[in-house]
Amino acid sequence: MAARHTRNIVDRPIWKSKGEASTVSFSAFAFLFSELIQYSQTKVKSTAELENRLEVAGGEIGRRLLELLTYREKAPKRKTRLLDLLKFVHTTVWPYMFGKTADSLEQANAADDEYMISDVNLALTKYISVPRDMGSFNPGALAAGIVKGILDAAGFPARVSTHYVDVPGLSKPQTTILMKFEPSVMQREARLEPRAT
Amino acid sequence: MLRQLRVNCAGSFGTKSPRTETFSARVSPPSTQSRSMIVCAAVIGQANNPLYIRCFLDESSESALKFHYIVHCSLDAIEEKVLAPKRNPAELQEAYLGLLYPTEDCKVFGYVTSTHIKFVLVVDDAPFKEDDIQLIFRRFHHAYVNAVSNPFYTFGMVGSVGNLLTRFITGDAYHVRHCRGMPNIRQ
Repeated sequence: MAARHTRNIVDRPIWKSKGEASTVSFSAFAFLFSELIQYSQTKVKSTAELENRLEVAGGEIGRRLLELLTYREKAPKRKTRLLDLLKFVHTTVWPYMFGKTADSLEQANAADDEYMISDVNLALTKYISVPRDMGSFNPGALAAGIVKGILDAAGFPARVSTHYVDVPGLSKPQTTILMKFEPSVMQREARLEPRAT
Repeated sequence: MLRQLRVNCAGSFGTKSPRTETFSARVSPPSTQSRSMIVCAAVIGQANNPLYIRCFLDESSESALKFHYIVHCSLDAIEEKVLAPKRNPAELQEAYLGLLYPTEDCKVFGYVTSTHIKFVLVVDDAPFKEDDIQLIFRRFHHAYVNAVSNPFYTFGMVGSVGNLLTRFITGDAYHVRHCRGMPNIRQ
């Protein structure tokens, strides 16, 4: 979605360098996303429902993305460990969607089963200013849905939500995607942990 | 990518045998003496629900039942392989599971994708190359990814992947016909 080309399009060589992913016009995406939100708004009564609709739409994308991106890896691997999967989301899925890795991936201090992916300038939130009466609505709900779709399909069911978080020193609030995994996932992780023998 | 794979695997899939009037799929390249054949292919969903199962040997219900049974048994073998703690942790994540178990007259191979979709291939009992099987699974995976990327695909619905294998096989048959000069390929 987000191209990071420094040069004008006519100055760039037609042949892409190896590492460069193919990109889609950001304006085209912004229009499409805007339409998705406008359409969803005609079908819902509350902000929570709107977020829910975006999450459902994202979920469908996420399941497909996981299958596609793992197939495209050099050696297709199943993601059996939680951290492997989260790293995959952070370093493979994010560049595929937004042209860069997520700004941070961290574990919540308070709880073992909560992880966060944060992005200061999430491409989804560009050109969108949320009206005051919509409260805490975050268009990043689509990204949350995608992440949820990936986690669910890989067998790591979790509750995923998006939040705006004010960070001191930044003019914009950053978008944080919070993942809270189900107890069964954490139990399996503990079981898979290699024992020191 | 696909084109490359097709070239590597030229002529690996099927033709219609004029004698038995059945559709068959060949695994090893025609250059080698031995030819093992895929006799059955199946896609199994996340909850071990069959999404697609097709036999290539003959259409009689008896053999269909037999392959249903073989594929069903293979699910246990898959589960065992996926859950079994291995010495090498990297091995645990490999999508290709290798030989699941041999039956009297065929061998069963398995492959599990990252979304817990299982592919099962039943190959008749002839010498084969491990690499060929892996290559076929990879193309199988490709076909599945293509089918899933269709926005009208509903996850876990039987029949949604209906055309995928058919296209997968006929695509190869098409390739064989055009590159190897084999006529009479019918589905």
